Amino acid sequence: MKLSRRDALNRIAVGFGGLAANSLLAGDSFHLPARAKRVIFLFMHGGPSHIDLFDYKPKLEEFNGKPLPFAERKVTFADRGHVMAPPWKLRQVGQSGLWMSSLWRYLPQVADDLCMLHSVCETNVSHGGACMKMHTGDEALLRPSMGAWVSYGIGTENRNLPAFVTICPTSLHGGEHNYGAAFLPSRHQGVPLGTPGYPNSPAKRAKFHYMENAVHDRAGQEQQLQLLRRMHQRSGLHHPDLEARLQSFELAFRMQMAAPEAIDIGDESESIRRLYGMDELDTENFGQQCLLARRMAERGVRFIQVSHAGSLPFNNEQWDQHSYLEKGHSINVRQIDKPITGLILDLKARGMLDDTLVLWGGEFGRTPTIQKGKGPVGRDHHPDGFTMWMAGGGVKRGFRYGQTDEFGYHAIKDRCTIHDLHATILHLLGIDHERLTYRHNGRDFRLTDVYGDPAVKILA
Amino acid sequence: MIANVIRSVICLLAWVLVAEASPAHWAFQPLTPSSGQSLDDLVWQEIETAGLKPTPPADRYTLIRRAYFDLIGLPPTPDQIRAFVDDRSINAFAKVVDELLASRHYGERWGRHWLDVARYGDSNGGDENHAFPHAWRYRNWVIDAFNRDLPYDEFLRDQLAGDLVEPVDEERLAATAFLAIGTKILAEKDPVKKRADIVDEQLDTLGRVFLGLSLGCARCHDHKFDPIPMRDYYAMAGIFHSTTIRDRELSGPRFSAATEKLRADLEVINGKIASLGESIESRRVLKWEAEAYDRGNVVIDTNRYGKEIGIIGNRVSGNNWAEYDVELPKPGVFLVALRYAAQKARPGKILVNGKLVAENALSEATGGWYPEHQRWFIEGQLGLTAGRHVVRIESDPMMSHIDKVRLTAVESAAAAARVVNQLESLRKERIAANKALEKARPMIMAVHDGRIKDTPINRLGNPHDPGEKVSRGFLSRVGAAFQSAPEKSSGRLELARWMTTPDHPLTARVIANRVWHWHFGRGLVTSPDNFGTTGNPPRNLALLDHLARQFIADKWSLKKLHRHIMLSKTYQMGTVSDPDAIHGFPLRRLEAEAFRDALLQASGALKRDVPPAGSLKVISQNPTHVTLARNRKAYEGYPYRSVYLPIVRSHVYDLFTLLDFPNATTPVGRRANTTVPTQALMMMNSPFLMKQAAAVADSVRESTDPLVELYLRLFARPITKEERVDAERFVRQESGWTLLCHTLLISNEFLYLR
Repeated sequence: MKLSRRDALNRIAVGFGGLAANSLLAGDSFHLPARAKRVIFLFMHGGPSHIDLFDYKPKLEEFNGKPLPFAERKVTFADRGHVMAPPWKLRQVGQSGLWMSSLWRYLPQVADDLCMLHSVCETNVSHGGACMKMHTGDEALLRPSMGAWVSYGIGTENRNLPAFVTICPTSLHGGEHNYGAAFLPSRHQGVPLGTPGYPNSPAKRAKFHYMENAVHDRAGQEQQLQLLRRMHQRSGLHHPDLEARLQSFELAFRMQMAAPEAIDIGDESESIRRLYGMDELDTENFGQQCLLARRMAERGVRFIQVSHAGSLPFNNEQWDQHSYLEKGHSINVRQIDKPITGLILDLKARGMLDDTLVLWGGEFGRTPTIQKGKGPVGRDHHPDGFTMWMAGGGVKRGFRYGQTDEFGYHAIKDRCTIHDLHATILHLLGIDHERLTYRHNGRDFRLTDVYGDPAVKILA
Repeated sequence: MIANVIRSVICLLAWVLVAEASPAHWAFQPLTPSSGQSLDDLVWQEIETAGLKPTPPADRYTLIRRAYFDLIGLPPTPDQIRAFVDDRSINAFAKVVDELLASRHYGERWGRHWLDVARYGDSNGGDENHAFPHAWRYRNWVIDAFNRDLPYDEFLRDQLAGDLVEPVDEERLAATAFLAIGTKILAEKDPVKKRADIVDEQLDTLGRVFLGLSLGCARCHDHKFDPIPMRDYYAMAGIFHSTTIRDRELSGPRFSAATEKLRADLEVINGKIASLGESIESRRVLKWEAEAYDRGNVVIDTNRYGKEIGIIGNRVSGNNWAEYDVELPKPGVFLVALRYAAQKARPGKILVNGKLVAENALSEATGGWYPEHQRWFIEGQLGLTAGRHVVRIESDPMMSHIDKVRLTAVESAAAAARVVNQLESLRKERIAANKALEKARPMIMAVHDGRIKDTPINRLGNPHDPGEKVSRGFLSRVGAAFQSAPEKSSGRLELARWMTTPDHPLTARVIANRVWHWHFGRGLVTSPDNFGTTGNPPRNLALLDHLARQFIADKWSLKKLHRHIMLSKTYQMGTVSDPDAIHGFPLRRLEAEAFRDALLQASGALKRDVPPAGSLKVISQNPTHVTLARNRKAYEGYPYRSVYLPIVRSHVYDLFTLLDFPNATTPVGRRANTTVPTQALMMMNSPFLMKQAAAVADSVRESTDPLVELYLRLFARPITKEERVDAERFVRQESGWTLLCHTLLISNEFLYLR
């Protein structure tokens, strides 16, 4: 019997994530002209407040301390109070005049490279559902993650590294499902750099697993490989799985050398380290994550996730400021501001920003109203309209896409649901989201289910 | 948008065409009558038609390794191999098969197969990964059911409706965890959607597992390919909307022994506390209902938990409080007491006139949320003047179910302090006794009938857009004639009966195919969870129906089905390399569990007993990277068989996931079989594997001919001359024995089954 092409691909997976030649599209050419070759997703766990950081709403000042003039959504996470104006001033920055909170000290330098998506919406009101929706397109069913779809769609450019790497992921709110392959072949799942955890593991200790051997030296391992091959030849069995397994051992042997090199930042200059803020206590950790992301990007990894997903002593998940909004957001912005700006500047300097899509955002925004409770005030979860931003990768620079209402509550113009967001990311990578399908349980599945339209207005 | 509409229309047209044609789909037809041919006749015919020849029988070494791994998931020992090879009797192999079927390890192997399709896990997975501390009782029930060859129709029935079978059997209740262990989105804030999602998970799972149908597709629209109208989905959904998931305690004599003494201890303490309360009964007692508060924000419940008694309880989001205005005619010293029920302690405070009286009130668990769990607790003491006072109860974020509040006057402050002190120490004792009891209580995850009600069709699957109500029932166009569920019970029992009528076209075929799949690594239908029109057609329908018919005739006995298959010539053929070949035994990779167990057996570390309950602790909810490292260490140090390792969904043991262990959240009838470099890296570099390799090396070196022993132990065959030359070259080097053993343990021959 003959193997179908897909069977053959599933059986003989050569390469960490499958060679580009083994991906779905390569060889058949991409669906669309690719604007971006890779994605770096800077994930802000907990839900940063869009109205305090980027989405300027003068009405909030006017209604400060008063109730919202309209009814809230039916299902809320917690009880809410009156409207609260941002504790910081928002001001216009760069040539483009994008709005940014005064908290941002470095990011204004690259304001004219950013494309604000002010109308992202429809995740979920709880962290778990929202994180899963953001990463996989569904809040309840367990579906492949977007990085896995990208790996499945266009493979990797480096056969000695995975196509999808997630740096210091969180173990919460979906855990491995958020970078998992679900029903896609498992080689497409994200490979964690660092053990998942809550709070996420320190970047300094992040490494790929099983790359070192304490007992055998290289010569011993070479003998081992030779014996494995000889045993196979003597067996007289010519099964493709057995052949593939031997190849995977040989590849693993090579990878033991490639992977440690990829994460060894010892060869980065002092000025680069400073650019990412690695010389300061507050920014050292996230700076290293961002630097690792750039190294992965340089080496052909397709989808790289960086997670700002620690915890703060006075409340929960990194950005989840139900209380202590002022304190929490100040710390959080300080930790990421310089590293993120450094990453964009660095990519630009290397000519990589044009074909690298940087995506920033959390699983939802925060309410314009305060959350009732004790302690300094904060804001509740808000999935109905919030801000993410993109940079590079073929999107317009210094651009504002979409709009929320006067209170930053509902996305009202150019609404960008998570399915639209996913469709847009795939579109930028040269993939038609309606044609990237995988047959499972008798049905063709997509990252975008049966929804989604790319936000074509943001294409440069 | 227009494209979407067009697409929908096309889908609809496609569906109309398929729906018209679908009654002819093979899987919905009755089982074909027997042609009198045997299993081997049917396979031989198929091989011939394909222009091939049957592969000659496997040699005895190959056969015994195959049978051992296949039936008990462990390799034969050198003694067992020699005994079989030397046994020249005609029924030598049949003896081996019977011994293995009688072994306790059979259930550990085949029960694990079932746990794949039952999407078994020891934690929720999904958005919040809380532990399922009682799930293991279902796992053990499954293992036991296989071992005692529980007929499959009863096996199915017990999992769907074990609580409704008369007479009630405590052990059978654990089977209903099948309906309870699904992944749920626990933090979903929309209770209507949450409920609908849980029912959908139950329905879709049982559809795939028992019928090979994707019922979930009909939640939002009529199934596009199979004859499952949306109406039928909601007819069945009604059955599960009438079913409640709740942990329960096993109370039969076998179980109560463990807790009897602890209960008695607790009763003694309770008695002391009660008599202490009585000893200070005074003439002046002011007692009132908790729900009669003057101000407050808590929920009054006279129905759900209170059963017309009336309680106050938790509102959704914290900061619960209630205030009572109290008039005292005379001053005095008072004890403040609350009567409440709490399954879990939800501590709070009592303030009188704004002054803290009890800092640590409401601090006990009483065993449940219901009236029968309500108890009085003296919470504090204070002196009060005559006149008006405000008593305030606060609790954050959650509140116990409070039934009554009481003020009791006592003679003096000293007397009150004495009582309060005595109470304090008794209550400490009670907390300890309660904890001990809680730990020892034999709990199961289970379901029971809830409020019996029909469910409306949810338009486009939206639970907030109800349409016409449908009476509870089963599929109308597949299987026996449409029936509806009884009025007074959910209908789960009737559903199970309907699924196991001998003329149901799907149930027996689906399980017969699963059994074939688990024996050969590939089913006769290669989509074992999908027998619908989008699944793959059977490679040999006559053979599938032969097995299904025989299975029903043998009273749904799985052990007889194993015998039937394994004693055939088909099963005993030699191995073929071609992955799709039908003319020999297909080469297959060992599952993750069999690999680990074989590894531990080879190194001498494996304990073959059933581990004591709770003997391995791993963390599932909010794990740090340190916790996860600790989990891994716990797995690596655990000497028991793999089936007993707790499955932490979302963070499954990586040795397992790298060998395609399922993600434990959806039924998996056919595991993936991927070969990726991360797997090879684990094989080459895992310290756990290196440790086993060193242990194998140490133990074989003690035998008279280490290399013979090594090959028998790992590959169940003698070593060849060439291999001996290779091996001797290895072991002459420093630490060469470990290198050799490690290499053999990660070799294809060790990981694959011929």
